[in-house]
Amino acid sequence: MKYSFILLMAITTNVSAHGLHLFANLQQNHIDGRAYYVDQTPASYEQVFLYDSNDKLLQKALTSQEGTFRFKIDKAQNFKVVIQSDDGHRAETQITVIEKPNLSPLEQQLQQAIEGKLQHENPPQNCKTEALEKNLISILQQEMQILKEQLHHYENKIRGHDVLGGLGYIFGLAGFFMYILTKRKT
Amino acid sequence: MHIADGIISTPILIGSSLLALGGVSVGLKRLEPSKIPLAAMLAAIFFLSGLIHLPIGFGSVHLVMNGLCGILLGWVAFPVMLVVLILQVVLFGFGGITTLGLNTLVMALPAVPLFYLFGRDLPQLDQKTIFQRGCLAGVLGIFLGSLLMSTAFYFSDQKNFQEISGLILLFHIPVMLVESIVTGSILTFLYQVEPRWLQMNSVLSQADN
Repeated sequence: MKYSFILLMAITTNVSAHGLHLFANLQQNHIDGRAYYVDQTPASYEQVFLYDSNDKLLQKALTSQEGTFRFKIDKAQNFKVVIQSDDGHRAETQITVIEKPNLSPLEQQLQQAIEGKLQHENPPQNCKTEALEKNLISILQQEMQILKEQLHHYENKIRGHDVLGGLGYIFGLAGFFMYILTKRKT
Repeated sequence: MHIADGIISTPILIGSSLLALGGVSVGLKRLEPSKIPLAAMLAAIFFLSGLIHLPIGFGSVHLVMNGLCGILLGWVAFPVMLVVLILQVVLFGFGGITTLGLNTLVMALPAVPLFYLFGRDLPQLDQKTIFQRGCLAGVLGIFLGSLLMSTAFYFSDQKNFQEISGLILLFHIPVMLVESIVTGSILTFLYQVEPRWLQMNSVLSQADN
C-alpha cells in the first residue's frame, strides 16, 4: 500500500456556507469525517456525497447522530466530499493527495514500515515487533485525525473580534452615509 | 435562512439579484439621515441574530429578525440586510457570494408588506396592539421568507431540493414562534422606553405620501 505514506501528505481545503462545516480525513482505505453546525450541533442524518476529481459521484452516505460518516475507497486520489442538509445548507471539502517522489531516508523507512517491507538487521523470533509497528501507525493516524479535527474546529470558530468587527463596520457605514446625506442636503 | 453557493440554478440567481438590486435602490432613495441611527441599530440586531442558533431536530436554524426590520424600516430593510449579509459572508462564511442577491430578497422582501400592513400607524396604537402586531410581524416575516426560499429551491435544477422544499417551512416553525415573542417584546420595550423610535415610521410613511 504505497499510497499509505502519501495519505499523510493529503491536504484538505474547505468550503462551507452558513455555519455548516465539514471535516474529512483520508485514511488508508477509507475517508472518515464529521459534519457540524457553527454552534457545534452535529449535522445528524444528512446526505453526504463523495465525488472524484472529475465531479463524478462515487458514493453516498448518511451521517450518524453524531454527524460522523465513513466512505470506503479503493485507491488514493483527489476527492470532493459534499454535504447537503434538508434545510438548504451545503458544505464541501476537497481532499488533495500530494505525491512526494523524493523521500528522505527517514521518510523511506516510514513508508517501508507502513508497507510492511522494513527489513530488520536482527529479525526477532516472534512477530511482536511487526504487530507493534502496525499498532503504532494506527494510533498515530488516529491521533492525527483528532488533531486535524480540533484544528478544523478552531479555524471555524466564531470569534468575538469578528463579531465586534462586523458591528464596527455597520456603525462606521452608518456614520459615513449620515455624513454624505447631510452634506448633500446642506 | 442563508442559502449557500452551488445549490440554486443560475437563472434564479440572476433574477433574484436584479430584484434585490431594485429593492436596494428604492430603499436607498427613502433613506433619510434621521432614519440612519434606527437602521444601524436594526442592522446590528440582524447581524447578531444570525449568530443565535436554535437546535431543531437533527439540524440547526437561526433567528432572522426580518419582521422587526420590516415593521420599522419598510423598504430601507433592503440596503440594511444587504450590508449585513455581505458582512456575514465575509466574516463568518454564512450564505454565499453568488447567492447574496437571493438571500437579500428572501429576507428583505417580506419586510416591505409588513411595514405597510402593521408599521405605518404604529405610533397611534396602544401597548397591547403593538405587542400583537409585533408577534404577527415576527411570524409572517419568517413564513414569507421560508416560502420564498422554498420557491427558489423548488424551481432550481437540483432535484434533491425539489423534494425537500416543503420541509424548509416545517423547519422554520419553531423560529416563527421564537421570533414572534422576541419581535413583540422588542416593540413593546421601545414603546415604553423610547417611543420616538416608533415614530420613525411616520417619517417613512410621509416619504411614501
